[in-house]
Amino acid sequence: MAIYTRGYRDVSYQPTSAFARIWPIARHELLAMFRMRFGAILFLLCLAPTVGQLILLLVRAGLWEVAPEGRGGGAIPFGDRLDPASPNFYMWPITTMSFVPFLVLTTLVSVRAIAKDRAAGALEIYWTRAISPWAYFVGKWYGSFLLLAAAFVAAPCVLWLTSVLLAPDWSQLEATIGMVPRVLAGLAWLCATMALLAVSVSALAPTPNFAAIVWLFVVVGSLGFGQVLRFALRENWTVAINPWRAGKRVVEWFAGFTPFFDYSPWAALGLVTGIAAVLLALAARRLRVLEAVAS
Amino acid sequence: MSVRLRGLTIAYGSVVAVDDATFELPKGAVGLLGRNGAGKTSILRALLGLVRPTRGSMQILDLPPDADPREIRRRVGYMPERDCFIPGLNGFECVALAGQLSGMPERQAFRRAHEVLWLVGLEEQRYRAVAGYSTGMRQKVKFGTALVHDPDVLFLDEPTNGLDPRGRVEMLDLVQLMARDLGKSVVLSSHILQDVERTCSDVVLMEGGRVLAAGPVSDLTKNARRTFHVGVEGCDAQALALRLRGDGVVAASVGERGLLQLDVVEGFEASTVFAAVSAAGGVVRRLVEHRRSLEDVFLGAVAAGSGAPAAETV
Repeated sequence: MAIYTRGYRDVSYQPTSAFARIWPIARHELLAMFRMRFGAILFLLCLAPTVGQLILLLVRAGLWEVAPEGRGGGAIPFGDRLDPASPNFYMWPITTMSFVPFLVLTTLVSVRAIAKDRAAGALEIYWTRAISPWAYFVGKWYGSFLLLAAAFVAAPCVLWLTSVLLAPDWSQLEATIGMVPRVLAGLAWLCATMALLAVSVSALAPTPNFAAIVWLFVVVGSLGFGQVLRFALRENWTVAINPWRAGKRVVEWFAGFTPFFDYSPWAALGLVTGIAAVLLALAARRLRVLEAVAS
Repeated sequence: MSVRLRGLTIAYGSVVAVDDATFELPKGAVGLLGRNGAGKTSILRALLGLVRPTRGSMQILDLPPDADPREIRRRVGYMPERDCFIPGLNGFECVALAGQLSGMPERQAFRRAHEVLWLVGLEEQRYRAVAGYSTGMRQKVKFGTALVHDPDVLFLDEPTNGLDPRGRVEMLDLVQLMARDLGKSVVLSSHILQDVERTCSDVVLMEGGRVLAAGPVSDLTKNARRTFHVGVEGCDAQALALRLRGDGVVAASVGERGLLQLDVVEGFEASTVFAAVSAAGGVVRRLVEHRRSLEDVFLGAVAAGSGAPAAETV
């Protein structure tokens, strides 16, 4: 086809699969954090617990001397939290120390993902393209998951690789090869579930700020309410009404780690699954093409 | 034929937005003309599968009526009326993402986005955030978004909304380029008669959800009636009006400042007026022929009763 004087020309292409069309949405969502002013800095701050753990690992390995010889340098007593052969070494920076980073990432990105499109009228753009509402939802979820996973799965993975490389022989690899993949898989499940909950809330909200407020209220509120219930009922499982805590319990169980609040992981799993199922059902109703345009 | 509607009715609750619309749109530029609330946008949304018709059937291109809506959308480009942009993107990202969502591979979508933005005149501003664009630039991005995947049919909903005169001309030029030079089917929904008259070969006139008339613009505006405004001196205009009646003049009346208005049949020659005035001993000081515009057709159709069925279908 000739190139016209105005520069227009026909294009011929093999249409991509429905699955491949999900990726541009996910990538856009993944990068949403870094489009924000100070977004990259905030993300790096979210890595602080893992970076702190990495520094402690370097100190332990003697690569970084923090005290003069003979005054404790290279021998900081942190129990199994600083034992690279323990699952707690990789989980502690995430499940215990990263609640605030989790809140920051989900509030700034995941829970705004669909609500911001709805508020801007951008759903009409998506719905008039060759993708279905479900593909759109999956794209948003996948992007949010990748962002959370970059902070809460990839960072511990780097920690593990560092510990393996710092070891004088392959003993560290041999000691952890059976355990760390389980920890990382558990953390990936946690990220996937939290992203699913946040994006579902986002699908229900009319504006991103409303979604963020509801999310903060639910997550922080349930944390406090769970503690109150635990004191009142003297039942550990009540802390699981907080999705993060419930998810954390499942990860601990999956990694073979005995937690501080010991209760049935099945209760935690059931709670998270139930909440996710309800939110998904509501989101599916809210994301119908007709519903989106009428709104 | 790019679009075919048969008895299409769209109702939102008790409000009937489109009432028994039946027409076919040929290839080329076709105008959906009507006032705000006439049902134009509802028809476009129904064609895109965004609104479920209450009754009737529709067909786009040669696709079966029950074709996968995603396949339809892959072959259709839609420029919505209202501002709707994916937040946080610049012009290039906006258009490229639209291409990818329409099924273009990434590399081709990126290249095509550059080409399309150059075409619409945003080559210099393509890396600026859309949020900072002027209204005209936003309209151009929306047009580029509709065009990026090289669709067979373009649905443009009020594309000149909010544009300054120059932007409006540029936008209409683009529409003409698509329809005339590139052979695309363009459905232009607008309430601005001049835009439709300038760019479209065919038109569907709508009012209150009903189709008043449909057909080629030339057919609708070609009417037995033409009008001459004649200014005479040296003779009585009233007497002249009486004299001209029946001589190819359907109606004659004397308006303001003694101007004679003559509604004439097709084929009427202006020389008849000169001859009559000369015979009456006067001279013609002014003679202006007024051809029937789309506006006259539209106003006439509305006046004839919005409840009237379609006067003509293509």
